[in-house]
Amino acid sequence: MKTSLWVWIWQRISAVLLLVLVWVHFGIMHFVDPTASITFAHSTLRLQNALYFLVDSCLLILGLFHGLNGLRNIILDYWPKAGRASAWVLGLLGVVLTVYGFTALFAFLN
Amino acid sequence: MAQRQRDVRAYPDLNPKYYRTGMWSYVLHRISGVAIIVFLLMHIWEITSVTRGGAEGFTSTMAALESRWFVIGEWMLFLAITFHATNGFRLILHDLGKGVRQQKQWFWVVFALSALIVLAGSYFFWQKFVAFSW
Repeated sequence: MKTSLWVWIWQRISAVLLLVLVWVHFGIMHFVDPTASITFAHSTLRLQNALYFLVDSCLLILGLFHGLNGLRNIILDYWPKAGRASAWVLGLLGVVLTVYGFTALFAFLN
Repeated sequence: MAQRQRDVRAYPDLNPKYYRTGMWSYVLHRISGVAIIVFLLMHIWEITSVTRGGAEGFTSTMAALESRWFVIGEWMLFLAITFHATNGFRLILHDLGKGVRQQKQWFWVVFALSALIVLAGSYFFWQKFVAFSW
């Protein structure tokens, strides 16, 4: 199967996963475990729980993939010639932002 | 009125004058999608304040973001995600070959469902909004 088709399928798979994860994240932050103000101490307690850490990691990776690939789809609609270049630029941006996002997630573990 | 020129191009005509249900759903999906990725980038920047400023940096950033304006922002995000998610679910169903011929009716189902979720959720956002003192 061609890469572009895999990307198309993963846009759908990430969509379904995000559908569940975003509402879990939203429900936890606003209804299950809401705090008057978000502090480092409380976020540390939260992220020490492996399940929270897994949910947030998946949200970071899948959200960035789905969002940046969505941007690529828009670019492909209006400027098909830039398809390859935008894939590299957005892919690189995605990797950089994922790594940078994980520096924050790991900061809560120490 | 002169017959509109029919030209072949790879991109859609963005003039709302020619929109029908499918185009409205397409445009709303795009706008909500772009809004959500912009939020995601800001959200990553806000959370990584812990990378840049440690515990104090994170807590003070979070405190700075506690205002009524951000409740409005969260509500708009809720609006965008609700529509994008329900409409995205419809798109996946169509991709699987289900209900393609009834796409128009399904769009209105999506619209009604989103409106219901937004109305129900708005109650909670309103409570959060009025809880803030200026």
